Amino acid sequence: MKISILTIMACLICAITSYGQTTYSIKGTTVDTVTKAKLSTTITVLNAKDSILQAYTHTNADGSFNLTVTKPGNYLLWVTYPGYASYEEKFTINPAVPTHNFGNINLQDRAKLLQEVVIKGEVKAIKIKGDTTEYNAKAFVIQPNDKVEDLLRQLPDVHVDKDGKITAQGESVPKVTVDGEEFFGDDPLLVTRNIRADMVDKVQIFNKKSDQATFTGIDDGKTTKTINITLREDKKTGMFGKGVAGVGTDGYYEGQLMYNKFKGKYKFSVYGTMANDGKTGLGYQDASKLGASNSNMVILDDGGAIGILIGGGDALDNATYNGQGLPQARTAGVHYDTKWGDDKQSINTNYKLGDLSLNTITTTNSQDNYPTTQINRSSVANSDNHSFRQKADVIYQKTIDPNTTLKLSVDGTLKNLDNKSHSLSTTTDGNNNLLNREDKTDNSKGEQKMFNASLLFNKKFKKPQRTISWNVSEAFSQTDSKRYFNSVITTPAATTVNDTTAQYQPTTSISSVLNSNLTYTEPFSTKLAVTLNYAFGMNNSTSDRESYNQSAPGRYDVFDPVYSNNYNYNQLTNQLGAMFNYHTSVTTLTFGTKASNVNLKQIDQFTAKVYKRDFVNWSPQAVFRYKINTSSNYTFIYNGSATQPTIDQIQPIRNNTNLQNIVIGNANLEPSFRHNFSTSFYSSKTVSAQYISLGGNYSFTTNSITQNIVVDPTTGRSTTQYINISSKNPFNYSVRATVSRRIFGISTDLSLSHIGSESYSYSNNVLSTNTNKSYNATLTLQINQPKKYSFYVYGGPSYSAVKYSLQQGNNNSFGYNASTQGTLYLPAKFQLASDFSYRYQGPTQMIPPVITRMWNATVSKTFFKGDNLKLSVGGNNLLNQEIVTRTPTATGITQTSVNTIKRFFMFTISWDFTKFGTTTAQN
Amino acid sequence: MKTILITLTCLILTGSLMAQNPQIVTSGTITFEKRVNLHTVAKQEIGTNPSPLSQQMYEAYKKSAPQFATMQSTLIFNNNKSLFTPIEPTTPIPNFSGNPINKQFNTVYTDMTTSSNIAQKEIYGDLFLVKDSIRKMTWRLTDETQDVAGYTCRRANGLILDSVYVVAFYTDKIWMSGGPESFAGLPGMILKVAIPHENVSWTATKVTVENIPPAKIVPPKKGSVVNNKQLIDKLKVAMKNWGSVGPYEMKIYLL
Repeated sequence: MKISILTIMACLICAITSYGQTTYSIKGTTVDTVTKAKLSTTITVLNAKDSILQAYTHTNADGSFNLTVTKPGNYLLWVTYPGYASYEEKFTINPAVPTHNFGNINLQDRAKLLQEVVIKGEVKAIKIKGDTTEYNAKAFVIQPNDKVEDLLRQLPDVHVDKDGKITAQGESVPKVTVDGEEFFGDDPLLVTRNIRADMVDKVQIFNKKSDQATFTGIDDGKTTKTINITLREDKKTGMFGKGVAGVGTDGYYEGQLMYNKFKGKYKFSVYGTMANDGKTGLGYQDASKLGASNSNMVILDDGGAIGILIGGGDALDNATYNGQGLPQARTAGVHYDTKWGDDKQSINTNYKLGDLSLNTITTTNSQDNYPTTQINRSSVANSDNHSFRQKADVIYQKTIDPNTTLKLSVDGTLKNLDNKSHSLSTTTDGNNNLLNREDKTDNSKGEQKMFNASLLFNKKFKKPQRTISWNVSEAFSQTDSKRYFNSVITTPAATTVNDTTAQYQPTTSISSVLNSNLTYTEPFSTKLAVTLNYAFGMNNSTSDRESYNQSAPGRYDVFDPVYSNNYNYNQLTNQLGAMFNYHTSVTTLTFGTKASNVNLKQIDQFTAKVYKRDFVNWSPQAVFRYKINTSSNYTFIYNGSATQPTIDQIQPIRNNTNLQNIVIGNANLEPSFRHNFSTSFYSSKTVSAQYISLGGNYSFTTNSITQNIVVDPTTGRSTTQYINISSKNPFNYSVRATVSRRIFGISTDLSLSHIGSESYSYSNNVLSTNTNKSYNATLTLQINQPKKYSFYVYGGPSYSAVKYSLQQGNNNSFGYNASTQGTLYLPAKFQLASDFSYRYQGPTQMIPPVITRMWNATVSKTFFKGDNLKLSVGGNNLLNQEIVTRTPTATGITQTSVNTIKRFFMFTISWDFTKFGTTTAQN
Repeated sequence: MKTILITLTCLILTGSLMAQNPQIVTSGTITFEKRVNLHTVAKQEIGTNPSPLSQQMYEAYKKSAPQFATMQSTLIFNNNKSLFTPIEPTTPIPNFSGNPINKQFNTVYTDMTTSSNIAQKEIYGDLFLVKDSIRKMTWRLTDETQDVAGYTCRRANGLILDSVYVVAFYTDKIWMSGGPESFAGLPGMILKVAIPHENVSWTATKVTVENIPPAKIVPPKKGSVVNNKQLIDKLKVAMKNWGSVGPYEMKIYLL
């Protein structure tokens, strides 16, 4: 009664305050039906028809609530309090009844409610809802002595409505997991088809569980059962391919055909290309589509993956033309890969053919300065190189268990080589007096057989970070070549001397290299681990070169013991290494060293002379990395390495390939050791497009090995000997900084760098110090709008200061370069693309400026919805330029120009075809 | 007058009854565990027709990364204010391609009385302080219940950011309509929330009922201040050329 007075007063106040406003609201008070105590409950308002949440609140301290509802409609009121049966009541709000007053809402204590039902034995009408079935009241048997607790457990949720009707939740919904993840069915009221097309598929999969899945019911010990469903992947089938045909002016052409078919786990592809416009195979993108994998995938600690490409040493694998010479390439290949045994085993095999011809005309001009004289040389060399290659490879992989993997790779190659070259050269001195002329012809034909096999075994142990891996490989190769060498050197002196060499040199070389590397990593704690490795290498090679002079023109049957040699070479290496790795979430420190013991033995089969050498190489290393935050880090690296003098430097094999310069051996050569330090700082903010990168490095070499070139000023010929320098340590260093920002929507980068070095050599026994310093600044601007345009320009000045202590004057020059590339998408699916690059190398005291310009442009149009068909007309090297390069050398400058593909126009058709489908999994 | 005295007594009694209220929790600490299905997320990243290189990378990742990754976080709350803080994992999570769903980048302060929240987000090196009102979410309540961390929770299906379907389990025993990250808006604390189509879920592993001094629940301060619309505009410009990865990562960063 007292409470009613309060309620009435509260209502009056509410009525007064709400007078004059058109807000919709509900109010009331919640009490315990028995004790009449005020209850602090949660008041929830849902849409009556779809249960969407509209509003909620908690009652005040006195159990009352006043809740605003945003708009009129039919609603459901829901009142809940822990331990009590929840209360439900439907109500309507409309402009005629803007406020609904519930008055006192009586809540029943759940235990008491069920107790009443049980103890009194009356089966009150309880409607119990399960998740897919509805139990009727009679089916739920309540015994008079049933404990309330049992019931409470079975009915975690009980609702009571306005009329006292009780509804209870039946057995709680079992937890369903799909492939280990809890599955929540989609709510059709919230999830419409437009949101995500594949949502519907998942629901269908769940419903079709009888055809596609296996059940494994797991009782997880709690009262709820868990049903786990494993899905099988649908089999994908399809094919895709590409055809390209291009015809151009001046006889240029290109063609490519690629076809891939895949079904479920296996993939098969075949391709063929032919071109003389610089394309020597499939481009990188097309090659990766083939799935011809020469790569090892390594997953880093942070989950990123890097593919390590192995093999592929020649133009046919790399498919790049470097702009030198006129190429003609024809390639073809077949690929097949498949998986079986639950994806635990896989095989990947390829067979490739390639035919590559290259015609090169190289013009070289060089100038060398010596203390007493200057030597100028100019030559023109014309060469034709042809190679035909076949390669077959197989990679077999097996996952023995989730922590153990095995990989076996085998490949074999057959190569036929045919190289012809003819050159004419003239050597003069500083006063333009002719010193010598050489007419040289060098033709050789060869056959190469190569065989490689390697096995990689990896095992992760139960203890985290403890791993072992073993890699063993054998590489065998045999080369048979026949070389015809002819050189006539004319020296105009008081008496003309013609020095003629005409030789036939058949050579057979065989080499067999066995390598084995065993690595073991043991963690001391979660932060510190050590990696130990033992590597073993055995190299056995023989090289048998015979030289024959002519007895009569065309008859090479006079054995020449001076330039013939037959060597056996054996090298045995044993390496031990230990690397420690310490890491926390912000720092990583790696340090350690490897020591290799090398035994070299070279046996001269003619003289039975044995050359032996044993030495130990050390390679210490330390890497420190500090993560300042998720996108900035600082690194410092030190590494040291030894370089042993090579056999060619100690005791060179006499050969007459370059009669202008003979190498003399030096048995006293010692190894050199190089120390390298580098440091860098990097920070990136992708959203605000701010990047900064700073870096520097410094390295110096002790006891470095360098050359002493002694020139005969009367003949122009020279001898070279390798020696150690201990009084001076050559060094080099670099500093660079790059800053990037987005300015007015244009991505802008500014890079500055400075590189310097000092090195030493001897000319005619006098020490020459060579100092090199260069300064570079580059600005890059990029702007693009997908499908509209993309534009990119970079360039900047550079200054290079080159000084040779034995030369007068300097070789300082100023230069600049600019490069730009742009693509414009025009209406009607037309596209215009062009690139232009310009390079200016300023004059030095000795050489005039060099300017190179390269300009290409293409217009293309695509057809069909998927842009499958593309027609394009392109112009290459529109300014018809040659490539000239100028490089400073230890004693002077060399300038080279090589013939290259000149200007041509080509019309190309390119067609991509695809067809995909899926077949549903069979049970 | 007698009525008044009785009324007053009743009020006092009611007041004292209310003060006890052992069942309702208004202050405490909740430890959440975020669980991501790394394999399924990576599979979705490579798409339905991946290039052989992507397929290889995915298979190598599947062999070396565990199927699920878990990350911990804590939520402290008192009287309608809460602070959600992620805990840095002790071992790094192998992240296939820097996907934000495999990270915890949000520190969120929520104030239900002013209906606002402040979220400090780290996005690829930039630190943002997003100040805005609590986002409007559509929730549909169901009859399904599940026990989470010892509390009986009711299931609600929701739609956030207009197109992301979530399933949440909330308890009306904890009187704060908040939850992990920026999930809020149910008549009780959300103890479990899952985004089924992104293969990620947050589950409360421990609820400690204790009084949290209000001085501890303070919003983060560092970062460049933006509101939701400004953040979306900035992300749109930055991720313009990222293809389909852009809208996907933007959606995750906005959660």
